[in-house]
Formats: sequence, structure tokens, C-alpha cells
Amino acid sequence: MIQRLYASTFSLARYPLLLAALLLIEPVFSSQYLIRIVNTMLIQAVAALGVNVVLGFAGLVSIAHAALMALGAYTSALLMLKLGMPFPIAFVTACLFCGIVSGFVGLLGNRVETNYLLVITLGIHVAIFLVIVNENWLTGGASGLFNVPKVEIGPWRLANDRSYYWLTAPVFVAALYFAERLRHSKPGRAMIAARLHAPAARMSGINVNRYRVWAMVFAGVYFGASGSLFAHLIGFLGPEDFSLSLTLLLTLTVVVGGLGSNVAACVSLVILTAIAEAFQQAASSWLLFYGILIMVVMVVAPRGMAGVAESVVERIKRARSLVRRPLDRPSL
Amino acid sequence: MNSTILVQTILSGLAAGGLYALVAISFGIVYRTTRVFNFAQGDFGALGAYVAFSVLAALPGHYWLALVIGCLAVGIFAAAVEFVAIRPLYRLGELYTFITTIGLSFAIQSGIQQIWGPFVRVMPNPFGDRAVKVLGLRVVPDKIWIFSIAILLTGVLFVFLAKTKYGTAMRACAQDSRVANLLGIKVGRMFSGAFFLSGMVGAFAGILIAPITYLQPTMGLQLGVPGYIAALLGGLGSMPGALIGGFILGIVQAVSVLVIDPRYSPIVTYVVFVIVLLVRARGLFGEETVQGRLV
Repeated sequence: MIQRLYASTFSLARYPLLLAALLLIEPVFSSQYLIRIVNTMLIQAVAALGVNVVLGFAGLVSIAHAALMALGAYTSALLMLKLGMPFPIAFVTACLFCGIVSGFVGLLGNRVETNYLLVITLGIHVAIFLVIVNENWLTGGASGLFNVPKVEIGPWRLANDRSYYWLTAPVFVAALYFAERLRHSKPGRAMIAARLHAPAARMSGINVNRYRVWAMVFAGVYFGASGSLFAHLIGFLGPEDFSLSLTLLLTLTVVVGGLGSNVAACVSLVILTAIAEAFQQAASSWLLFYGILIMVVMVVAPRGMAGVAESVVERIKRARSLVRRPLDRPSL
Repeated sequence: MNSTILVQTILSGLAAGGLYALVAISFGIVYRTTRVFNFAQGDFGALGAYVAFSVLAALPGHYWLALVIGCLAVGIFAAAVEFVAIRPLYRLGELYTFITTIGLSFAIQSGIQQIWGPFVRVMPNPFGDRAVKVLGLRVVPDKIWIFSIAILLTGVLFVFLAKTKYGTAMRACAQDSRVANLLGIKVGRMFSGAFFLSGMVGAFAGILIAPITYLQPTMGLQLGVPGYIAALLGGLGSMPGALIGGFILGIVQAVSVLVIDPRYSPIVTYVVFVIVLLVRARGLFGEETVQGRLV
């Protein structure tokens, strides 16, 4: 499975270019406010890519995204705070731990119809939050965890947002790279096949259950990474940083972008963040807005921005050629 | 722990279980007709409770009127949502309708918070919460009432869905909507009807449970999740199964409060669920839903 990820043929030049571009435009985010938003956005983009693997590739509806991010955040912060581990080790541990927990949830989900995974993941969400709120000696309880250590990697100490950007940007690009590689590899295609038509995928010899678990593991690693980055950005961790509304935002991001498209998910996250920043005063009604927006997008453009873009391209092609092709081919 | 407390606890569990069974059945009505896994089922109950609360605030004492208005309002709301937001998605498959109902669930929850405020409210109790001595046990009448009403309503729904023309037509839609259409069943009307009925029953459960659990915007999840688990426990689409599943879950929940750390009591429901998954994932009377192996 892991080796197969590397066996896919895909142009690699674009990722160093993307990273270089991200690092070059850093001075544009001049104010403290802007760089904080961009950092948060890059961190959420990693999580959104994870949601895209679970929901967009494998078609599994889970709502433990925010809880798994919380797990990664607290794991990473506590390892550095209580055990004095260096950041890279804490980061990797958080990723692996979340991956394992997420995979375990996926195993349970295989016992029932896929829809019931939602109920299981809700249970995971509730369980993780009860532990965070009730075990004060470990997590600081409802008041939160103060003095989360700043990141030090070798000689560099990332004490402020501007230096932290040099960590979030490469991690985001790496996350995008691996998500794209997954999409163009056998496991990724198998996951997408399982979403589009599970019985047909089974007939073709795809072990649907196994790939569903792998999708959960892969996404879990992403949530762990995202949570860990978030913990050390602010220096303070509270349970309300990872509410169900964050889960809903990430789900909405993938729905607006279009199920299965990594790049579209990142673009739609930028758009949604911009909207959220423009209407900051209405913060209490976010959940209402997200919920209604999900329903509207589903009716208006069920395949999201990626689907709309694809059908536009398709129309242009059809207009230019004399061959008539059906418009509604199943998309990846 | 003396036996009186235990008996009373079990009785409360049975009352709550009856309501979970109603939610499970209302969830099943939609699922067996349209194949939509409605995650907003519990929130229909919350919405009904809040509407009834407002009617009661305007007309104190007219409890039955509030009950009827609450049920009808939610039923109409559910049918309208089906027509506007879910009907265009049937052809795209279950995943899309499912995601839509998640959006709906959060929208209702947050909408309630916008309209009625985020704080907990108390619903007047119509059945009297003064305990009565029966056979040497202190029994609160509302528990008995709720338990009886739940059983009665389940029976009525069972007859309606299993024995009448409409119930059969609903099942026919689920099995093959195209053939049902050819046979003269108005499939669209059936789908709306299923949502209407399910919204009414869900609201009914929400209104009945409101005096016990108090009103809060997130009560949809506290009502919905046990409902789904009861539906799975009994086996999807089995009505007696839903009733028994609801009772088992209600009793386990009520007794667990006596046994474990109350701070962690919300977990119990999910633990029961996971145990069911590992032991008998198809439920007590359900059709085969397990895919056998874990990996």
C-alpha cells in the first residue's frame, strides 16, 4: 500500500514551485492579523484535505474531524509540555496516534451500513471531549491548556506567526502532494470506486472494506498534523477550539469544492475563510449559515466547484467539436 | 442501592426507551420509504418541543392543542424540506441526501438557538410530576403515561405501515420506485408523506420528552442518537425491534447513572452501540446488514 503511493506517475515539479510561490508572497501578509489568518487557513487546509480523503474519495460520512484534530493538538502539546520532547517527534507521534485511532473507528464502521459510521464518529467526538473537559490534571479541563511550548526545530525557534509560516506552508504543500499522489494511485482510485459504486468495486476485486479503513487512517494522520500545528500556533489550547462547527466547516469546504478534488477543496477553503472574515459580527449564527449552505450547494451544484468547472470545460469542448458526447459522465 | 430506587430507575428508563423507540420508528418510516438516512430526525423532535413550548407560553393550559400544533408544524416543515432540498438529490444517491440531512440537522439546531436563545428552558409537565404510591413504590404518573402512549402509538403505526394500502405502497417505493410508479403509486407524494409522518412522530417524541429533559437547542442529538441506535438494535425497518431496542437502551442508560461516574454518562449510549456492533450488527430482528469481516 505505502509503496504503491510512490509508484504512480505524476509530475513533481509543481510542488517545489508552489512552495516557492507561497514563501515568496509571505511579505504580502504584512499585518499580524493577516498572517494569523493565513496560518490558520493553511492548517485548516491540511485538515480539509484529510476530510476530502474520507468523504470525497471513500464516501465515508464522519463527524469526528474536529475531535481528531483536538486529539492531535493535545497529544503534541502534552508531549512537549509534560515530557519535554522535541517538536518533530511530538508532531510525528500525534500524526501516528490520530491515524491509529481513526483507523480503529474505520474498522468499527465496517461492521454496519456505512451511514452508521456517523453515529460512531459522533461517539468518538463526545468521548474525546469528555476526557478533555473532565481530566483537569492532564488537559487543563474546560479552562484550557496554557503555555503550550513554541516550536523549536534545530537552531530555529518559531516564536511568532511570521516565522511559523515557514513551517505551515511546507507542511501544507507536503499534505497536498501526498493527497494528490493518493488520488492518482491504485488505493486512491479504489477508494473513489468504492464511493461511486461499492458493489461494482467489490465485483472488480477491490477490497472495499480494507480501503475504507486505509482512508480513515490516512485522514487521521492529516488531522493529527493539522491539530499539532494548531496547538503551537496560538500557545493556548481550549476544548472550544475544536467544536462541531469546525467539523461542519471542513465538511462544507469539501462539499463546496466538490467531492474528491484536492485543489478545489483548498480553493473553497480560501473563499469560505474570506466570507467568514468579512462577516465576523454574525459569529453566533455560523452553524446556521454552514448548515443552510451545505443544503443549497447540494441542490444547486452537487459536484461542487470542481463539477461546475468540469462541465464548463466540457461544454466548450463540445461546442468546438462536431462529435456529440453525453455531458453527464461520472467524474472522479 | 435499595430495590425501590432500582425499580423507579428502570421505570424512567422504560419511559425514555419508549420515546427513543418513537424516534427510531420515525427514522425508519423515512428510511424504509426513501432510503434517506435522516440525521436530522432528533432535531425534528427538538423543533416540535420548542413550537409546543411557544404555543403553551401563549395559551397556558392548552397542552393538547400545543401537542397537535407542534406535530403538524414539524410535519409540514419536514415535507417542505423534502420537496425543496432532498427531492433533487435522489438520483445522485444516498451519500448526497445524507450530507444534506447533516446540514439540515445543524441548521435546525442553530436556528432554534437564534429564535429561542441558547439557555435551558423548562416545559410544564401535563401529567403531574407528584409521585403516587402504587404497590408500595413511589411512581411518577408522567412516566406511566409516556410509556403507555409510546406503546399505543407504536401499535397504531405498526398497523398503519404493515396492514394498510399506504404502508405497503411506502415499502414498494423503497424497493423499486420506478416499478412502484408504473403500478400507479404516486411516488413523489409517498416520499413527501413519509417525511410528513416522520416529522409528526419525531415531534411527538420531542414534545413528550421535553418536560423530563428540559428544552435546549442541542436536545436533537440527545434524542436522535439513541433513536438511531434503537433502530439498529432492533434491526432497521423492524417496528417491534425498534420498541424493544428503545427499551433496552433506555434501561441501560438509566441504570448506568447509578453505577458509573455521572460525568461520563453520555458515553454509555455509544458504548452500548459499539457492543451491539461487535456482537450482533444486524440487530435483533433485522435483515442482514453486516459485511461480515472487519477488513
